[in-house]
Amino acid sequence: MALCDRALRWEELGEDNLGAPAQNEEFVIMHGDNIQATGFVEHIKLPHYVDFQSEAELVRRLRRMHAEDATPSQGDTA
Amino acid sequence: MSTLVREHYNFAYLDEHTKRMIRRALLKGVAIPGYQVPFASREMPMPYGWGTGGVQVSAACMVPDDRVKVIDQGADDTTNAISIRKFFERTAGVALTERTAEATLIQTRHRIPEHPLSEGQILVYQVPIPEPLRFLEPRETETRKMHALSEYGLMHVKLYEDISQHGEIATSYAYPAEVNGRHVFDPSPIPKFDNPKLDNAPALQLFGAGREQRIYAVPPYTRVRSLDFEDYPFVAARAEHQCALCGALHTYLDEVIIDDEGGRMFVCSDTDYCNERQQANQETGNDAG
Repeated sequence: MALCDRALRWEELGEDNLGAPAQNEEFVIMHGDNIQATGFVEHIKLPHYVDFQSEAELVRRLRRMHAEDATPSQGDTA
Repeated sequence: MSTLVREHYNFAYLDEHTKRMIRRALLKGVAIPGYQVPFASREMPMPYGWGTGGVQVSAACMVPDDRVKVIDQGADDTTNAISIRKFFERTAGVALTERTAEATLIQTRHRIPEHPLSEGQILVYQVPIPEPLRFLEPRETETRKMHALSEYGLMHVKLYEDISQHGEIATSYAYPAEVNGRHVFDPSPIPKFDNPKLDNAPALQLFGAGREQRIYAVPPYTRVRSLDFEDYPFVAARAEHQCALCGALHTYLDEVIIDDEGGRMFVCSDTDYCNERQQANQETGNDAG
């Protein structure tokens, strides 16, 4: 509740409008002030290894790609 | 068992008026593929975020002759899958199965089964965030307008920014796709490896988001195109390994840490498909591949 209250007072506290979802009243109330709001955190308690696996594969592939790109240029400068 | 079920619960837990309301939303969803239909989501005897939407959609579609399969992360033996399976056993008294081919109704979280689906099967997805544009535009009023106007430029800009920053589209699950040439939708957090299975599938695919109170659908044989660019085409990525148990080279793999030295093995995330292949391998004399 305190978090919800704090999120709605950004203007009054003179903070910059960053366009963040947490600064949008409709978004905060829809997601932060009802019983459904507990749901997203509850959902995080369930396993996500399939999603994480796909992220891990992506990060490995990107790293490999960047390593391959970086190797010849390092050779040039050395 | 069946008398006990009848005495204590209406068939499949929900009352008939609620089922009618959900079926109406489902019909609208089927009529407008990919469109998010608002519905009066009920509180279910499980936490929000644990498949309350999927369970309501399943309950509204279920008939006593159904044979139900429930998976989470591709596996039949995970907490969420077991509890939902038991829920329907208790409240509907329907037959249960772990075999994809034998099931008439499959509820899933985060995967599409590897075994090809057939006509007459219903695949129900549990959806945490139905709105593909939510992380780009937090306001519901705006995203609805964007869908109404097919204004998906923002999504393409996001994908383009991924390419300019990372060298490729850095979305690996819940990969946005266009349904029937019209609505861009979130196929729930399935790995993008599964996206091609959405396209032209013979089974009816239903999506339920209980917390967000939305239902949407992909009817059988509907075109589902994963968003991409001509020069950066969509690629269904998987770990470049072989399943350590069944030897499959074409399935989606989970990485399992097996000791304290960082040892790891890759196994199919679809447990039923993996078991099926292991049995077949044993019968044909162990030639994996």
